[in-house]
Amino acid sequence: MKIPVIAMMAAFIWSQGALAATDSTVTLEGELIDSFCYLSGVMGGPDATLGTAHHHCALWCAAGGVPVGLLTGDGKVYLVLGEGDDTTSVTAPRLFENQSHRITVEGRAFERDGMNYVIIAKVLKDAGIPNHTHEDYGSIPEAAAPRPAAKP
Amino acid sequence: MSNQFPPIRLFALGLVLMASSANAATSWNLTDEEIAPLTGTVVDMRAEITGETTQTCGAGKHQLGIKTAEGKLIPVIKNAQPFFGASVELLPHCGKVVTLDGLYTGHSGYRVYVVQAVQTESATIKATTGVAQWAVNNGFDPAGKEARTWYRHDPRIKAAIAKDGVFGIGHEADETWLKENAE
Repeated sequence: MKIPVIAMMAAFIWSQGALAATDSTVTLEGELIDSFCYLSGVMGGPDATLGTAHHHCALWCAAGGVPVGLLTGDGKVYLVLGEGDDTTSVTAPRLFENQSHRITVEGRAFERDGMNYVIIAKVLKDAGIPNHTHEDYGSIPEAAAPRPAAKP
Repeated sequence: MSNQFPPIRLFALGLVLMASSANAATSWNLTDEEIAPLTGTVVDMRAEITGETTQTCGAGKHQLGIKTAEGKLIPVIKNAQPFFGASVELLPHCGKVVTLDGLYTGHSGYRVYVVQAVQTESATIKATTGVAQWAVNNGFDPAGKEARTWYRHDPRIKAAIAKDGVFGIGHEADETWLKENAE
């Protein structure tokens, strides 16, 4: 009787391991991105949804509650599920303000079912928006382009 | 009198209706798009991956997703309105089993879900409630023109643009771009 019990326990542990998220404390450097536009191709290629070209649209999506992502140098995308003492990840004030910025963060990273997630504990560095993609792409989408000031 | 709907035609009609009701989503021509329903429990993504307990799904402050019967966690990141997320559509169903109409998209191994409608036991609800809630929260008419282009009237967005410009690096960059691209 011991063998079936052990086999059942092993199967249970295996299944739990497969479902649970892998958790680790990390330091990550990357750009805060609009996860939907980057992953969906709705605005064209992924590169067009980075940096200054897409900053305005990224603000729109972050304000609308689309998850903010962190794109790291190795091409990994982390969905951000909180920052510091603010557990808000839907239209979170600090994530909104830092949209398109290149930041270095310390936090807890998780991997589950092929997706990466991060809960940021602290922003160690904020380099602003060094990725001046508007020089190549203009504004993505075009509707988000700067408008001439209204004449009085 | 001839029978316009013999059993074989009724069967065919039934198949068509079953197919359309089983998946009412429409294509958005997204990357690696797969139109497919998604059934599972509405969960708080943060609580799900950390093991924190929650009864409220973050009360609208947390990203929500679907946990399937097999235990797979799917991020639902977009509703069916311009530039709006999906948590607002899933929150009323926190902890309940629902079927979403929508589509998967993504690349580089990442798969996320866009919801177009939420099917409960009693109703099918279009995933288009976010903008009306935004309008109410910001003092606008949910049926008004400001709601239709909510992203141009959102006070936080307007403040961010007033501070750092459209490209986010100062108004000088915006003005330079406008001069270079004047028609």
